[in-house]
Amino acid sequence: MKVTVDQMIRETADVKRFRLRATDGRELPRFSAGAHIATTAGGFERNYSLVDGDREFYEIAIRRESGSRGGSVYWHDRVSEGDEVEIRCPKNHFPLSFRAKHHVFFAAGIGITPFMAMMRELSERGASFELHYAARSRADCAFYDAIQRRFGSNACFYFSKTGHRLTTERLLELPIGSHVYFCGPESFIHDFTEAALSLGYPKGSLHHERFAAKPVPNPQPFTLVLAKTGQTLHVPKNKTVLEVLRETGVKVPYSCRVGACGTCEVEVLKGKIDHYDSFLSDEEREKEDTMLTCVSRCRSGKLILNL
Amino acid sequence: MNFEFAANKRLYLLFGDEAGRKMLQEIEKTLAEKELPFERHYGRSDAAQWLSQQKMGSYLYGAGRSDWVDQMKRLAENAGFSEEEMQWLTVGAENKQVFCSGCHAVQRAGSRRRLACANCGLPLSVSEHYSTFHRAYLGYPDE
Repeated sequence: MKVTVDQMIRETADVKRFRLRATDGRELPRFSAGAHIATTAGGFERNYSLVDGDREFYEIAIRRESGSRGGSVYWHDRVSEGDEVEIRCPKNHFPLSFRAKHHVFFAAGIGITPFMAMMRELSERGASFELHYAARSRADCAFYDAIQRRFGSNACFYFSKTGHRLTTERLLELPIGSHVYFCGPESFIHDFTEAALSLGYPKGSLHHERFAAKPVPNPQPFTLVLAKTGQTLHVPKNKTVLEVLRETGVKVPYSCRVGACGTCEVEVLKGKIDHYDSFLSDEEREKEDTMLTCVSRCRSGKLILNL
Repeated sequence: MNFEFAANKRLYLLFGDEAGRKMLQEIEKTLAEKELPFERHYGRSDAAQWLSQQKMGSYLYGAGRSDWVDQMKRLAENAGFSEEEMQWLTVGAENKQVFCSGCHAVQRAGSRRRLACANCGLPLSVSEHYSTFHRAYLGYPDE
């Protein structure tokens, strides 16, 4: 659907917030806290968490990443108020747990975005939550004033420039029944997840959302065989299986493209899979019969897919 | 029937009534051999408060008579323990709560694997699927 950029608000030197309204004036689809929208602007398709909104408007916040592939730079430098962009309906791969007695959010940098909507929902419900938010400094801390005003008693800020760092020690004192949510860079999610597991947290109480796929060290090219059509395809080191399939015209469903949601899962008939997803269980990975094409690769030179 | 060892927990809680003590001995021995931290709690009168004071990373082994286990499992769930954070064993005859998939009535099944629903008469087979929402094992129509 088409939306119009109604307002742009500068949150920090690197972060802008965009308020979007339906171009045709209709109501927007409902969404739940933690949801994101896929946006297409300037040819770049990117997912952004909804930080706020209702049937009238959506709000997303984007950090300008000059070293990235261009999506955030386009939004920051080329998009203006009144511009139209294409979005898809909200999807939620990062929902609040309905089992939690207490919700604990750990955000690093722009990882704060999904938690804005989550805190709003929990606050309206009168549910128990706390936020631990790491940023370089107060000036770099998107939504600092809004969080202090609306959720101040539930929030702790950690500014590395002042030497006050957010560490995994915060996991030590959480009461039974807590569910923890991590959002931020890969290393942050990895460190906190590992620390929680080593303390004995059950996997079901850990939730995370990645903005990018896990990095693949030294990716290698490989061959892909589609069993149903007999096609042989080449996957170069700079492309994913999903990208190659779509470029070839093979219609496969996909959504998050960071290995988190499972939409692009396909059956593997032969070959050793190099898994980079955070969706499958360890047992499912060991079976070597299914993979997420958006991130996972091959360790044996050739994969045969049931496509 | 015995407990399965749950690895990598920061603290193990051994929780039982008088009848459950014996069943907890073997897991206690395992924990002692592995030099893992554990606490024993038998016949506590302040169970609800004690359970809710526990921290994430704790793991609960509970054993006792069927009715005691039902009651304490409910307290543990209310405190925040999930299925992933506890194991229970029953001493003597089980007295499972069963949820009728026909009329949704909840009733005691004793140790029976099959019964007719006391409310609607539907023949039920007692499954191993425990619903934390209904606090009962699901009873499916008996083919």
